[in-house]
Amino acid sequence: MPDTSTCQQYLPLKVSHVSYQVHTDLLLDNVNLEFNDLKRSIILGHNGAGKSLLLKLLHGVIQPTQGQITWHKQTPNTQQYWRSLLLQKPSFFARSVRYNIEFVLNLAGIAKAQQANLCDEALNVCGLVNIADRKTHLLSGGEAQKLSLARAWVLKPAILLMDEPTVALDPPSVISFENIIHEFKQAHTKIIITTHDLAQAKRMADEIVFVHNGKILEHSPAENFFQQPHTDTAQKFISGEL
Amino acid sequence: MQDISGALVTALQLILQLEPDLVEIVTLSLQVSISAVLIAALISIPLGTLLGTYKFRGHGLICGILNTLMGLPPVVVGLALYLFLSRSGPLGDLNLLFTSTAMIIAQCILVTPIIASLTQQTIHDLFQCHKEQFKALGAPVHHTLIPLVWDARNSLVTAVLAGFGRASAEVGAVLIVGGNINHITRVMTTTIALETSKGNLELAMALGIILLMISFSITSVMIFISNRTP
Repeated sequence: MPDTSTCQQYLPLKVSHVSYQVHTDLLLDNVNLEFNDLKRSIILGHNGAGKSLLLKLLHGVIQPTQGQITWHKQTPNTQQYWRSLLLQKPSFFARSVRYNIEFVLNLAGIAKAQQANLCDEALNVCGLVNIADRKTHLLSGGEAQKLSLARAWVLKPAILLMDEPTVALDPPSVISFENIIHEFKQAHTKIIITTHDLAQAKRMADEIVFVHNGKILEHSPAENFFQQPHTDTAQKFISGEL
Repeated sequence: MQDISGALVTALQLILQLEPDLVEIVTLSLQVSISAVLIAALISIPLGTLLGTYKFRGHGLICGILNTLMGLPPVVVGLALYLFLSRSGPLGDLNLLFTSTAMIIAQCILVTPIIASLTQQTIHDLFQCHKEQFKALGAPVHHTLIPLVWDARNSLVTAVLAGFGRASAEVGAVLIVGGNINHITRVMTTTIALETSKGNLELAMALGIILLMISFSITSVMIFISNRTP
């Protein structure tokens, strides 16, 4: 896995005056954001706040209609394999778990000779060894998300972006998933997750970015956010009124 | 009713006796139709896959033309091909008119748009399901084509079978460019047309039943194979 210095070479992530508009709908409005370190960052907000959109912009899946995003001066594009994005609803080829991991290795141009070892390691870390040859349409929701994580792990990304990865999982699966994410943290991977789940945000966050109606209302250490939010909207969200 | 039961008996007799003339007709029919469908599949599956995944200027027009060509009238194809292959036509020097090769070309022209259109729709739908994931993974489209075709293989087998159905049931075009010459270009459909016109209804129906049985057998085998593929 990447060491701290490797991760740092892609930071800071700077989001400058970014907006995203579809026809007349302004879905993200003048977003300014900066991530400098390896803290686990949680992008928090209710459904439709613009969290997923922001994450896809950070990865380069879509382009902002205004403003600029840079990862250490590089504009994001999805073929920067030092960064991985886990979608809320991942999709897989209707083949084995192992095939789907090897597909990613082929994409990144990893030599065939190295692929088996890397694949085995990812299967092991994500607890998929016993179902490596299982077809993906037979996977449970939790196993599918673990496969999604394995697909990220195998490329040893310096940055891991996750879009509400546990939203459809039961509590034991969520805990199991978070344990794997902890492995990424241990390996000094910068982690950015979107969620609307307050409990998960409290468990995992080092810092919180609070998004509401396409605007960033707060960006602060997790402890401060949960104890003394600066805005009424954040206070209402924490108390469950929003 | 008597005709039908008589046809069934005649069909059974023909099959059991393995009459050389019948075997020859059936063999030529299968050779022509299977060759036409294989060639059409080799052209149309890659074509349909590219149309299902890439967007470019004129994409909609090509898809529209392909969809229109699915309903090509066989006699029109036969006539056009006849004009091309006749001695005074641009391809007259190839001496292909009234050969089984001309029949294969005719069937291929009829079948290609069917397989290409069905492939395009199947791959397009599958690609849309994965599109965002491919983007997130940083997977260029050309990297995804072979896995997509593999995932769609059952639907593509159905498309090929639809093409085979069209080819094996075709009579107008092969009659024009093949000429229904005994021992050279006589196939099952043209024989059925000939025997019907001669009033040999029992024999014509018997041949029809054999044609149906062959189509059913080939379809069953292909579906069995595609379902057994891991």
